[in-house]
Amino acid sequence: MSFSIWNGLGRLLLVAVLYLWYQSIFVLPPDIHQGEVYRIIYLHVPAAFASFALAFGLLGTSLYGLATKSPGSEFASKAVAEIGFLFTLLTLVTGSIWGKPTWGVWWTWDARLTTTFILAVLYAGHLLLWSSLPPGLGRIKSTGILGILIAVDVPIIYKSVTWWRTLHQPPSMMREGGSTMAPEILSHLIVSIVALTLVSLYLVWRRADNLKTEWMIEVKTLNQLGA
Amino acid sequence: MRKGIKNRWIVAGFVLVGAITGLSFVSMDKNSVYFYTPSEAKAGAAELSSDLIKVGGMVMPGSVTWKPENLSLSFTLTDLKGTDIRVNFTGTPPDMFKEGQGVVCEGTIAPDGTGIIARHLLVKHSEEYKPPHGEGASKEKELLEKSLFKE
Repeated sequence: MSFSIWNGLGRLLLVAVLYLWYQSIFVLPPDIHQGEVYRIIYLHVPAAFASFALAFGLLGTSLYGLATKSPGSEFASKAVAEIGFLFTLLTLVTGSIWGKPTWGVWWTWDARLTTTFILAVLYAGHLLLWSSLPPGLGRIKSTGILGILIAVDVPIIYKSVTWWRTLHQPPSMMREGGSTMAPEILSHLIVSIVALTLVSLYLVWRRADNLKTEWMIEVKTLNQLGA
Repeated sequence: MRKGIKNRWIVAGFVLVGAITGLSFVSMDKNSVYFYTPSEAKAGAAELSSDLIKVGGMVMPGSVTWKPENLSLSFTLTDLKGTDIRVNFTGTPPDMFKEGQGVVCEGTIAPDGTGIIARHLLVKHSEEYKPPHGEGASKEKELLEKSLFKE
């Protein structure tokens, strides 16, 4: 029963995202400075936002795990870190593809790119740590502390373009003196951010469900072997 | 806790602490700015001339000479406050390179600070996004200026 509700929600999100991508490519106007290539912003910025949101989600599941020692928090954290890693990679790849035709380089070690790279490394570190430890309190504690560290990186990434000189441009949306985007570009970007963030949360919930099932099968198998 | 697990824990701890320490040093080192402004580069040219450095500024309008036959590009990099450096570059500039654009040059500076031989040319664009025939004047120049020449 719950399975079909999940599937229905997934299909709805898929249709919504495909429709938004169609608009991003064919309906929205080009940019006066960058021409057509700027359209990747409708994937790059939502992916970045989702990876930030998931980092704060990981902060939540980590603190919950540290406070309650609940085994469920382990699966939630693992699922959030997996999808967070995926969306951080998507941010780096789309940023790189955008950088080549506009900046002239695929990559440069400025503060924005470096701190985002660190986010990907920290997410990957969380996955490695989780997989290398046996389930239980030790793993809840160690991955929990790393989960908190991952969230600490997010405001640094966000402010990096304001604090330091970077090749990456400063924020267009949340900035002093209002947005530097035309209204139609800004509103479509906000809708795209909301949609892709919902997709990331949907993926987290599905993945956490899978991890829980996997664990239950393992426990059952072990019990049968022991009996 | 088994011994193998404990060792792994210690290694993970060391890697983490090492990474954090290393990164803090990098971020706290005042000399490790991503690029110098033209005035910083000119003032420190005698010392910096032995290094590969990045200098960021604006492409002075009317200063660009481009010879496609030998891919030679030359322009004046300015901070719009009176400090100018002549840049020579061999290669194809990025598509967005134009007069009045933000640009970061990576290369070597002459000891007297008058010229840069650039190995790489990176375009720095602004955070402005608008349709080609949209309303309102472009704020690109002031946005770029603010982003390029922050302390």
